[in-house]
Amino acid sequence: MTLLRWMRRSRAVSTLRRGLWDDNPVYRQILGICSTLAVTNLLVNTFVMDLGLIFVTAMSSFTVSLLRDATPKRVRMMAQVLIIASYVILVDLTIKAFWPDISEALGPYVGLIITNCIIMGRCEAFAAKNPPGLSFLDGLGCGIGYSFVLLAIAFFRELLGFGTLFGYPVLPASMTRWTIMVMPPGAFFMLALALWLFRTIQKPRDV
Amino acid sequence: MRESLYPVFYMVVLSAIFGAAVSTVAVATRARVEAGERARFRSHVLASFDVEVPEDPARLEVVWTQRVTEQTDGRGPYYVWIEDGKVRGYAFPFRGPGFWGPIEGVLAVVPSGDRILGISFTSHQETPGLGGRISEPWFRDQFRNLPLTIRGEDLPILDFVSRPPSAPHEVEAITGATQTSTRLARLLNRFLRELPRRPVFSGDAG
Repeated sequence: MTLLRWMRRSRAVSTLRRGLWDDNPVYRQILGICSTLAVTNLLVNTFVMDLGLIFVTAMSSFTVSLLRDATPKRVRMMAQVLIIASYVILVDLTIKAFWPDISEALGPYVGLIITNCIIMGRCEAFAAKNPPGLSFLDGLGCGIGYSFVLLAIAFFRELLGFGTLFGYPVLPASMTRWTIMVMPPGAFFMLALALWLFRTIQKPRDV
Repeated sequence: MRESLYPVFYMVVLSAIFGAAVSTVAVATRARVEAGERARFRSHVLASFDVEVPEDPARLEVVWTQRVTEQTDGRGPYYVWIEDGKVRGYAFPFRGPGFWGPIEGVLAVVPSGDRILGISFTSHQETPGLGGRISEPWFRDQFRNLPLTIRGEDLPILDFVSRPPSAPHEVEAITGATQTSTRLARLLNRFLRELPRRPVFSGDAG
């Protein structure tokens, strides 16, 4: 089988691609919006949030999937929250212990990862009914899909709002900064534009 | 009976397992985390004294033990900077309401208490890039050598203005961070008014 044909047929690749593009959590499923609005005023904050989220989503989906047959239906959400919270705490402790400067700057955002509905959304919609390998890829794909949308938004918000990229000045000081880009209304506008842009690029679908 | 008990049993076991895993990591990293937090706080105190802060934690420890002693008076801890046998300054921790959460920091003054040596913010929850800019060197450097005089009952000791400062008691606020600047001004002025009453300056037992 040619590589391309394998890629088209492989469930692993299609799972990954769905999270990245076809069913992107931000512009398709409209999940994880709160953090999208909150962290995207600076690229470095966005980047740390993205790494944390990719790790937690992939590992939580993997773990939920491993336990999916043992978990009684009535307590599945409790179990999911427990698993997700544990991973988030692990990430938080690791960053505090080994990168205290980053933790000082971005500590609150790390703790907020657990409130991101993408993680629980994928655990409930996919990991609860699929094997661990695919669930890990689903979590990974959704995490990366979320990340690239956020980085795109953050790129423009930081550039227009501060004139910097990752803290390095890029625009000349003479250009007026669009401070609104740094504040919540700017986030809403940019998110709406991103949604519009990506959905227009994608093939038209029902919803 | 067994069917309704199994979910409870399952959750107890799962909680125990994940709780144990998280606790193990917490205990294993506790020493590192505490050392890191202590080092960070000390670097803030040194920064407020305008002493160069070493990157290396071991060097930081040496600089700290050589130069700074922690004391307490009736109102809480403060830090004394001694160089060549002479007191060069005092640093006092402060805390007050900011915009999104409490702002905590350390403010250092000369031994006579009439000039600021520097300020450093140990924790705050202000918007990154806006109110969060209070942590940036350009903002903090404005406080160096500012006079601390009570100009009048109704006048603030430090005036936060929305343009470059034109008088010794003025500090330039952060554009776009009105709330953070206003609240910081209020909390600092309140703190500075109380400062002359600390025993090191007033001579009371405290």
